[in-house]
Amino acid sequence: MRGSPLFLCLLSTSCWVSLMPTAADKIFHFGTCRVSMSLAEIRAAFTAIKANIQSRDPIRTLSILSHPHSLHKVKSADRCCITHQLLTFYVDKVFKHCRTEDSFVNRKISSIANSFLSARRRLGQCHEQNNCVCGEESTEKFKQILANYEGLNVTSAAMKSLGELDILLDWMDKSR
Amino acid sequence: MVPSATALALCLALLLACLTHGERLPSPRSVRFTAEVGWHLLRWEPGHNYPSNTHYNVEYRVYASNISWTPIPECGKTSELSCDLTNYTLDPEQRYYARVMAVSGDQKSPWKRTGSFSPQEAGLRLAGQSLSVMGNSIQVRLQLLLPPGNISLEYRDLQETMTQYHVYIRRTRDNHTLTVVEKSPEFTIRELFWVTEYCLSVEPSLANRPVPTSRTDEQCVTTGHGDRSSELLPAILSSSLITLLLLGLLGALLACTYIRKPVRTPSVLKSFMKQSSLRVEHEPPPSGSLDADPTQRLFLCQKEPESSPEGSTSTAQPPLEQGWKLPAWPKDQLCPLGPTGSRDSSGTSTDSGICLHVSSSSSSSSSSSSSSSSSSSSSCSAGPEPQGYRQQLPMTEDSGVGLGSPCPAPGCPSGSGNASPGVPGLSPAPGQDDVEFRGYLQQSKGTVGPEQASDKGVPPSGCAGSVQDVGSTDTVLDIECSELAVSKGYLKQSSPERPLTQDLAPWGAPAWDFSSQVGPQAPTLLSWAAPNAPLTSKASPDLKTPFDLNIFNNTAFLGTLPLVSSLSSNWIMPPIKPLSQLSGDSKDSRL
Repeated sequence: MRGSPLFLCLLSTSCWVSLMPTAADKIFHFGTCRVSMSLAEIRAAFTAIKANIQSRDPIRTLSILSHPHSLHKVKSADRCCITHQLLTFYVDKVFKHCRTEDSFVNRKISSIANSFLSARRRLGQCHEQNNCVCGEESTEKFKQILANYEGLNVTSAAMKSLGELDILLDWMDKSR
Repeated sequence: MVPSATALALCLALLLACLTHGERLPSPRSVRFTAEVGWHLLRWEPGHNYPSNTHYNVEYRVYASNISWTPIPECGKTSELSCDLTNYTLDPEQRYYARVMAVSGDQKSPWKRTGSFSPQEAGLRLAGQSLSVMGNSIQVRLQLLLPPGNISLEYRDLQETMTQYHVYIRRTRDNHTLTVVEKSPEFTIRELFWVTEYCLSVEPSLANRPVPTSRTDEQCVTTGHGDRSSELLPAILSSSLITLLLLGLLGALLACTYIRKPVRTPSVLKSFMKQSSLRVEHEPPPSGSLDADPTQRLFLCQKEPESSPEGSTSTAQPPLEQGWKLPAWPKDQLCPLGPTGSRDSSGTSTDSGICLHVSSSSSSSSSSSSSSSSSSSSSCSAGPEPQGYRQQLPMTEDSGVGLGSPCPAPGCPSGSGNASPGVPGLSPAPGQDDVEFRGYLQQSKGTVGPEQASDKGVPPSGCAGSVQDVGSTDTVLDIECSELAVSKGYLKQSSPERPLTQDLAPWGAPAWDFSSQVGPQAPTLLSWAAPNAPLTSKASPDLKTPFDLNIFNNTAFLGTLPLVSSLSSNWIMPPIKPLSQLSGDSKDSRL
């Protein structure tokens, strides 16, 4: 039957199309790297605890991610490098110092940390393949972030960094 | 002094406490941003027991900026419970905070701060919504409100890409609501009921982040009256297309069924064929009979001359009931498809050259000759030119069965050479010289004589038509017939144009008429009429079998008639004399 291969082909195509990643799990292009991340999940978890976390941060004159220049100004070519560095930064320095007394908040922080871990792993593969080239601008930016972080005590810095997660998510959104 | 000092201090402290307590209003409650695109509104609720003359002050600041709280002039000392901060919070990449304080007389409340606010958190808003009815579908055009100010292109593109529209369609008469999610601001909702009122409301949302959404007000329209023609037109078109398609398929199937490969003669019929061929040989070609024979006759091996063979032929050819009767080709009319003729593969033709056996008194056996190479076997007796196939233009592809018989002396029209392959031209072997040879020239037995010998060696496959006499024919036939069974094709009668023309003269119009009728491509079995009568071609696969029989018969007479590779254009030149030998009932070509 000549028709059956054609039918199978159409069926598989339609199945593939319907199974394409939804809005929750999009492919992100960080420079030449393509990483699949479920940003919407992370954002949903953060929105649930945003008010709580941000109320624990009294300092408004200083930002870790956006000081002195906004994170949004980082160029597209360097995004892979700086994203990888930021993910590592959050996983290593922020989440572990954000223990609160609220178990609900702690659960949400854990889920965000897990998502960051898997995204970092995927991005690390790109990094090893040398697809993530760190430009001078991105290197400078990350140095500034670290300096901002170390200017505060650990807990405050960690809470502030966690409170600024929406800035990071908005910036990553632009890498679609 | 000390006690009085202490009392005084205490009184002052109490007084201060009372005063401060009295001055301190409770702070406003529920201070929040309720923002939509282009409208960033700060709202709050009055605190507990606020006096009626309370008014409020609003300040804002930017996150991570050295600038401290900045008061908002428009909302200074406002008695309303909201303040529009759009113009101060335009940058989507920044984060803003606002705070509100209540003042009532001398009393002030502490500042109440909002959480962080970013313009990206603003809810989506539609600037415009227009509906238009087209038949039973509604076309919707939406306009999304764009953020004011200097917005970066990146941000704008992101918003446009991520916007989704939830459309709620409610049917008024039964309140059934249909929800559709669309990605583009312009879309059409189809397949609605005719003459029904629908109310639409749209709710835009973002796919990548949760933003507050609001449904627009319902807008109601009524679908149009069913335009029957517009409804029916696509249905009619599609059904007619499908019908045409089916008809085309059917036609193709029919065409395929009529173009059939040669069929192997059943063994049980072989003996019968031999008999009939023998009979055919021996009967003198009723010259007049053939002419007078009004019916189309296929030259089959069994086709005896009208007299006796009729019955046999009729019995032998049940499939021929279409009226095909093996024309009683005069044996001598068999196409003199001698080896020369056979070898005279007019390479042009690819017809399979079954030389129909013209029932001729001579022992010419029309053997269906396989085209080309094998054609040698079929030696048509030089009889009247088989005009059937011959008439197939010499240069034309002629797959017709060589109607052996009417292979006049000048040589069977080897037009068969060009006969289109596969044309089951059954040319009724003209029993006599005048018999039109139609289609392929059967290799007449008569010519086999001298040629047969050579033919025998020649025919590559198929029944060697060259069989001299009946007796030997039988045996030979057996051998040959078996081969013949596989051999396909007609012995194309090479067209010795010149002699043919001479011979054709007597044939005159009818022969040529036939040719005109035959056409090279017609895979139809030509019904042999009397030479004078125009042949009507009948496509009948059934005829093949009888043809095969004829072939066998003819081969006995004619010699080897390789039927294989019918398409080779070996037309046996119908020698003039062999034509007479062609048996009338030359076998027509086997398809």
